[in-house]
Amino acid sequence: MNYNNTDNKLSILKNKLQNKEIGFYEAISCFLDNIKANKTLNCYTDVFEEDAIKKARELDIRANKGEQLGALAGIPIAIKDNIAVNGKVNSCCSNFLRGIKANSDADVIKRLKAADAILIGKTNMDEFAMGTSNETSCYGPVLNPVDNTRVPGGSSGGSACAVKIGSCVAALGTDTGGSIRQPASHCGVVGFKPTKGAISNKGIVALAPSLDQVGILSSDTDGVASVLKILSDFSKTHVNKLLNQTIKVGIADDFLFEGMSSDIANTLDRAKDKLTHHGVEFVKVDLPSFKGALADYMILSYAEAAISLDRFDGIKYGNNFGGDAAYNRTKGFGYEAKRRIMLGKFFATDSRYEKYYLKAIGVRRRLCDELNEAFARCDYLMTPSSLMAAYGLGEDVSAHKEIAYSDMYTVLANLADLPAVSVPFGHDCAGLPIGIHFIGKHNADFDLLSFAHILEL
Amino acid sequence: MEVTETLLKQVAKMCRLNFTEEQYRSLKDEFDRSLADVEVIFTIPTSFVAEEKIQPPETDDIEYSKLRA
Repeated sequence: MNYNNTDNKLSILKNKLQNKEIGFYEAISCFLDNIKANKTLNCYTDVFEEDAIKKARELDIRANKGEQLGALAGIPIAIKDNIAVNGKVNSCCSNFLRGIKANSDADVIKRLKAADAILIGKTNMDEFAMGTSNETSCYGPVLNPVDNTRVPGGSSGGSACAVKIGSCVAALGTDTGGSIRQPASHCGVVGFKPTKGAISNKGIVALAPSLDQVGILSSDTDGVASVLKILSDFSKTHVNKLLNQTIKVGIADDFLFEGMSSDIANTLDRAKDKLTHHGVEFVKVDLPSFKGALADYMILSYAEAAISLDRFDGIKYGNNFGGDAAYNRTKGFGYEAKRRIMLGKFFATDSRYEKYYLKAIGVRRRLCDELNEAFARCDYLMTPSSLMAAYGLGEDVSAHKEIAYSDMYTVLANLADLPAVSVPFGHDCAGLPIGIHFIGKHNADFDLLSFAHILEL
Repeated sequence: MEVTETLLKQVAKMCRLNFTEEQYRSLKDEFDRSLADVEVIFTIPTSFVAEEKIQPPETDDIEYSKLRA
């Protein structure tokens, strides 16, 4: 049996396992082989080969005995390296935590284990989830599986790549400003950030706690929904996919940006045509404060990151490099982390607090008010997932405005605690995947996934 | 606001980070660029007034005792 990119869907694997067309051990061996065959992409920091095989053999025995298995029995799931798995290294891809193992499971891991999922490994990421290219990892960059000369996006680039190559059928990531949705878009998979709090964050290493959210990547919206059912406590987990009433999608002139590539703009038009064909109605909404969303995100996330990372000193927490706290922190953190810590401290302390941090809180509230007004007129908002497709490894971000602005659409959902999803929809002229991004109302997570499924038809 | 090397050294001390003189020059460019980027928020009218000082939240999401050196 071969799990390639076209049939790497959770529902297909689940059916084959349930119908005993394939055994658990046989299936997991295929995924482990895929990991080995794609090692050069560098998407895993640790592969749990022994544990995965042990779990698969256990499931084969239990299935043969006729025992009731969990809802995700035998489904291989990869875990971002900032989510604690008991007994496994939880390094956040930073030298500061390299080699340090977690002594307990994150809440999401407890739920996956209880559902009999198979944890297949930890995935590479930007250091402490700080980045949009996966180039700040202490383990080196992840390569984009579609074009190896390009970035996979970040910070959950390893998770997106792991799904795309068929080494797992779903992966967990974390999303603070687009860290699941942007790499999903660049790699051609579905990336979903739930409503803030819908999935427990307990057991992740925080970057910016008011914005962080554990989320899910998979090959399709159905795969995401299957994992979401296990990880969340939503009572409504099934939505009739037949549209009984007119769905309204909001688009805003404020979303137009001069740096948007023509490929992205054309893809957006094609998505609009497809949705219109399925009876969706488009309405114009106003989000005048959208122009400040990225700047707002920058101030708030950097300020929170400076505090979250303040505890790492190599004495009490993190690796000791043989000096005092300043020496250890200087050695332990990479440049991007240090840059954000410096700016975050600058924005949030004493004389700058009112000017920057308090103002940013005010702008966040205004953005939330404007989004509430927009959602009074529509069910979903639609934007591109990113301003451009995956860019080249080693690009100078500061020299390209569109790269620096790549999170401008995704940060909205984090600032307003809303669910959002990136769905692959076509390619640019170079054959690189492009994602369409939808934002939904609070707690309408399953509705959102069901709606986004239209683009997969 | 003008970002000076003296200011950056004060911030670095608060952050418990060391930088070389060359890195400070590079950081100054980063600060200048970032502060220019965030200027846009001052064009957005807000009426928010904090009754008491709000601090960025600290996480309780992980048991940090389990990440000791």
